Amino acid sequence: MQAEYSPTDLNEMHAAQILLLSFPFLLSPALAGNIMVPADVSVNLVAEPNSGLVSGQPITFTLSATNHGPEPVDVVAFSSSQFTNEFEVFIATTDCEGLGLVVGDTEFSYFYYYVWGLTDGAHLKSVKREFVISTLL
Amino acid sequence: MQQLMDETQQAMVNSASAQTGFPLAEVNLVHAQEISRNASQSMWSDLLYLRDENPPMALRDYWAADIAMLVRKTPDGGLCGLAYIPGYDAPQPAGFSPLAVGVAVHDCTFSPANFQHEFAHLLGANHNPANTLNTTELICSAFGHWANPQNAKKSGKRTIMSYKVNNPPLLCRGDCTQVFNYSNSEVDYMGDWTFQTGVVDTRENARVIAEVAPFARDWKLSAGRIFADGFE
Repeated sequence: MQAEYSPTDLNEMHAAQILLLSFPFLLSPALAGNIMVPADVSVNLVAEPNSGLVSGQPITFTLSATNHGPEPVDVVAFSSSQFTNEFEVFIATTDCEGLGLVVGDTEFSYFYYYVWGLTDGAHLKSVKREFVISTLL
Repeated sequence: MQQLMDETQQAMVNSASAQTGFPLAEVNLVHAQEISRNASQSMWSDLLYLRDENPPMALRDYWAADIAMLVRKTPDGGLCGLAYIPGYDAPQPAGFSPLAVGVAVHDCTFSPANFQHEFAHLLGANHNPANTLNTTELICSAFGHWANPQNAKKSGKRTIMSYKVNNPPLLCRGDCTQVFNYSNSEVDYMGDWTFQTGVVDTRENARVIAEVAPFARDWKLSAGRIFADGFE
């Protein structure tokens, strides 16, 4: 059926190409070798306010990360804990470029979590980002 | 892998109507390959691996794949799938490309359409309202749907994005059979009873898929390698 369309036609349609990576059942474990600690990265997360919360009240999370070296760090990913319906995600704001919301599906239920990845190729030295989210009314 | 894609395309056909256009989206498998990766890795790390590491990133760029998914044979505990979802405070569809990745277990009791479920999350589709975070969807009608027939002896039915709802007072009866449709109020599933697969303006996942698909088409610009299997 795909052969009925030229590439031009495909572009005019809502063609979403997909890459599938199949996952083998079992593979050899990763080779053990010298263990290198590439860098000393400290992470600090502050929530404000962190007590006496009222439904609907915004919470500001401030995340700070610093690479104390000696090696540069190019890829860093921060993940929140899982949640289901505690937050009003719709009105969340952040200056974390690349922040993503992940939905997880289990056999009987679901959950969400945030992932923020620092993958722009710049070496991590020090970053500080804010994320404001409200508790669900 | 090709079968998974054929099934996904079939769901796109099944779920199309006048309000969405025919089909919802045209999906093409551009490449599939096994990856040397320890099966004991968590699904959480799989998602980061797809997004941030090679070879997945390089393969995705090379093949200009708009979406990348990793298919596991083994579950991670009870986890059947993970996927980013556009909107919320995460990137809107136009800037969603770096996050257009998902992981699905090939066979999971959660859903016979587990792959298609995770795939549609990437296009903005959500669960049925009782199993969704809150009213924060990309468009206000992007929900899955389930329903029971009037005949109390027959089982209920649900769409691809809907969970089995078994918490009273909400109860999808019997085995709550999953049909191979995304919710669309304009599409009826004709089985042992007629299941209207959506509710007008409230449970319309097909609509959001149709709206996001034009953005998805441009998540990776074509590299001219459409016929990845060598067919020309």
